[in-house]
Amino acid sequence: MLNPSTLLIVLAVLMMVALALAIVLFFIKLVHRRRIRAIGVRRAHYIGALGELVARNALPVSSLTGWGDDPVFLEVLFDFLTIVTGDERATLERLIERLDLRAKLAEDVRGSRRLRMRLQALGYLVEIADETLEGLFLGCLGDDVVEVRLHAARGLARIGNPDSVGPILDRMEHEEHWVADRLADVLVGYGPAAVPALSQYLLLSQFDARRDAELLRDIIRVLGLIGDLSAEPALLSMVEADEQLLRIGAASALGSAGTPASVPALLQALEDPDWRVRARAADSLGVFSDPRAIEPLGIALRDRAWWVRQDAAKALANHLGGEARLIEALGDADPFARDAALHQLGLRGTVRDAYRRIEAGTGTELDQRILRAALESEAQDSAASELAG
Amino acid sequence: MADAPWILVADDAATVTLLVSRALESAGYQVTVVSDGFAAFEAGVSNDFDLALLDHMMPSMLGTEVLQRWGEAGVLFPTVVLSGVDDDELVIQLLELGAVDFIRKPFNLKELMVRVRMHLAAPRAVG
Repeated sequence: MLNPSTLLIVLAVLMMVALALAIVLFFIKLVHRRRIRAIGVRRAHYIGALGELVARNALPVSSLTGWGDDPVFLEVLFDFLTIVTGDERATLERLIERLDLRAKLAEDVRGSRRLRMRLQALGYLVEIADETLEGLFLGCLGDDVVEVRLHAARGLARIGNPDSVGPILDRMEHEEHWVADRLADVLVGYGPAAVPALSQYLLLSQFDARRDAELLRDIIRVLGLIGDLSAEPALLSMVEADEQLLRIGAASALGSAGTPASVPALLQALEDPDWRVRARAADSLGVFSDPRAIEPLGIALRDRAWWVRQDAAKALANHLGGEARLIEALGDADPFARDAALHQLGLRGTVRDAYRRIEAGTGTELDQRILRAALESEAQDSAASELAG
Repeated sequence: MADAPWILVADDAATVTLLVSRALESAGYQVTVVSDGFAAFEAGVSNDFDLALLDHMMPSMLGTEVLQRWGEAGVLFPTVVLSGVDDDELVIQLLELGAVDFIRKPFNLKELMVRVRMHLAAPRAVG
């Protein structure tokens, strides 16, 4: 049991400690508030100054010393860069030159030990990437930090020199799949400039026993997204690959990067043992409107896989002259083929038009057939619903 | 100045509002700036602007909601959406809600000014 005087001393000490803590907290808060306010004032100053520069399309004659070292200025400058184009952007580019910001930010990337600062500087450099930064970005492709490597690849894509596609592909070989996927997305940014290197990679992979199917699938996807026809030979070489992933990707990519020369390979893919390859091939065949595809697509309406039937019907609906084959399929012995065809004819408005003509008394025998098929299908659906209910 | 067209600029980015309002004022227009969706809605229903430049991604109310509420409140001035969104479906939705134009960020200030003049010169909807 403490005596009263000791208790008083303990209480006094505790109160003094609490008071000291409160004073310290008060000052921390005060300093923080002042800092935030100062940043706000600087931010407003830079917004005003940069807004003036951009609106006048002119740089100040006075010295800009210190601006480039202020993170608040950089933040405002790069905000402006994301909202303007044309002359206004050119003015900001001249300011960047005047402040030698590329060199300064490159120094931050190379010299800073703080990851946040490096990433920030690298992010800014990606936005203003030019050929002077290519060496820096190539160096950063080998960095230990994933985000740095991804930023570096984005910078290289922004510069767009096709010679840097190879180093990114080399990097992808050593990355985990999710990183390789992200790097593949970056490659799309090169556009057609990347196609020769990517095509060559695919073609040479045929002779590489250790090839990584996931990586090749990414490259096929990129070629499809770029959609440049010069990728067609490389994609065709993948339609018959042993790995399903590659056949699926190639059948799909040929829809955007293929020409009618791809039709025979896609028709063959329409008989692939994997339904995903058949579905992609059907979808891509819808793009070319090649008469050779009509009958095979008509047969694909009876495919055992729902997706293939739907994609074949959609391809016929998009195909010049495909509607007649869909109407013919309404008399198919296979009910699945009839359903797939009827669904697309419904979406095209063919059923509605036939109904209107019949109602107006100008309907033909074909219109009667279309409407009969639609009504039979509806009756079957109702019966099925009743059974299910 | 009193007869100068009156334009509402609604955007939460100070860089955008400063740049756009400065350019509009230099061209002789009167400008009112707001920085969130709710303020944009309130300004729109209580003033008869000649044109509005509206961002989509704003605090408190998105551009789509502002347009919808303006439509319900019978606001008639033309609205140009100025946004960095890269979504065709959204652009269609904004136009269906009554926007007369869509300008994607980054934008060219000269092009923006031409579009502003064009929309101000167009006959206005009558309620």
